[in-house]
Amino acid sequence: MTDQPKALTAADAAYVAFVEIAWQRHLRLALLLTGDRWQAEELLQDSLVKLYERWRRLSRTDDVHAYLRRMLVNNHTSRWRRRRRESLVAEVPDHAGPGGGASLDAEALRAALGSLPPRQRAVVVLRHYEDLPFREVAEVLGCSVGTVKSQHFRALEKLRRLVAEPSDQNSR
Amino acid sequence: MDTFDTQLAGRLHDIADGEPGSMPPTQRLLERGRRARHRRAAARAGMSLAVLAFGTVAAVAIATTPAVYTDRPGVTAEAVSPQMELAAAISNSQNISFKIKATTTLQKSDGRSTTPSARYITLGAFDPATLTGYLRAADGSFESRLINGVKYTSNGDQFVQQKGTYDWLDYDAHVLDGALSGSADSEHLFKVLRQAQAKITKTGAGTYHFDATTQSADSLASYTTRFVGDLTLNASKRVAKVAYAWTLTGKMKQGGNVFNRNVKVTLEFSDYGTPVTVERPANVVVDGK
Repeated sequence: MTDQPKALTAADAAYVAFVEIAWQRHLRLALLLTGDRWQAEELLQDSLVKLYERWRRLSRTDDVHAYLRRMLVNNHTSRWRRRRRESLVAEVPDHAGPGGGASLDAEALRAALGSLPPRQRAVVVLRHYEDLPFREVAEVLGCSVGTVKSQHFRALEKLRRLVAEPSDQNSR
Repeated sequence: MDTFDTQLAGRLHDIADGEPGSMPPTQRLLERGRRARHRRAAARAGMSLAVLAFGTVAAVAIATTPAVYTDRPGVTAEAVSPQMELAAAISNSQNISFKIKATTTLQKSDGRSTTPSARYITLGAFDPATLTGYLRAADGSFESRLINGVKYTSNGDQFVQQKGTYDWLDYDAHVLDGALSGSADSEHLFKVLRQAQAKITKTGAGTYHFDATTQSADSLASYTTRFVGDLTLNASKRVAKVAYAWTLTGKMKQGGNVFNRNVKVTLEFSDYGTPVTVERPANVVVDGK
């Protein structure tokens, strides 16, 4: 088939407009989920393609951004399960930070996030970046609020240990 | 939240906001999405909405009155409105073989530019009596053949025999990739022209100008669609040419973003009543889906 652009239906035009609005916002979310720019773009593009397939049936969906967010999280988890391994995980040291102490360093956090399983990472990102209440995080992940809280607790414990403790150890 | 939680939110934003922005690859996403949808749609080809068969289109689109058109000026022509004349002309073009040349010119999809970005020419013929015809992209990227209701399609390489039988060639789904369905296609055009608010004026002997606007909405956006163009009849009082500009203005309900799309379409009909013969392609693969 030709690579020339095709004409747009009204639905296609709305889809393009949505992508133009949603791209940057969801790219950032994808980046936090994957920890890698290339993977983030790949994840977002794959999710947007799936969104396109369902676009004409989405007229009853109230919040397309929330729908895409759920697709991103679930697609990322599925991909992770397939790969069982991400480059960042392999690169994450036992202690991620350069010793930020009480001050949380962004680079240390980026590395530490990569050590979390995808569901825990999603909980952290949805709760602290997207600022969703636990109930909505549970809806995105398709699990109970209790499970989300449990995952959140474990994730933050690990992040604290990876990011904050190095300075304690260095001072010993 | 404790201090760590508060810092966590801040650092997550630092990470995310620190990344350079990029432009969304909308065209690539559309192409991928359409290909994915095609794969799904292949198994249910009969669901295609767009119909090449002009007569079928017209039959659906226009609740035709009995043929009121007459070649005798001054007898009934003065008694009927341009709308009724148009309906009669379309009725007169039904249930008969024809050839078609469709030229679709796309404007750039950035919502601002009016510069043409691409042009497609599609050639076809159809005989509703024998369910035989063809559609062929001028650039060779696509061809569809219909022989006694059996359809073969090719994307420029291998012909595939589609399951089932067909009484139309799905002009929209394959050639223009969904571009015309419910938007700029002749079916929708004639539906619009049928509406009372469509302005149809007779501009000469066998020529009509139309200007119609429709409103629609779904939960994603509201749309305003406008058709403006001209329709020309041939000497036999059949539709010879329809040339129109289709403009869509949409407003997203989330965020209020406004977008515009512009397409120019010219449909040229000829060879009414001429037999249509199509050869069965060689090396056909039967669709196993």
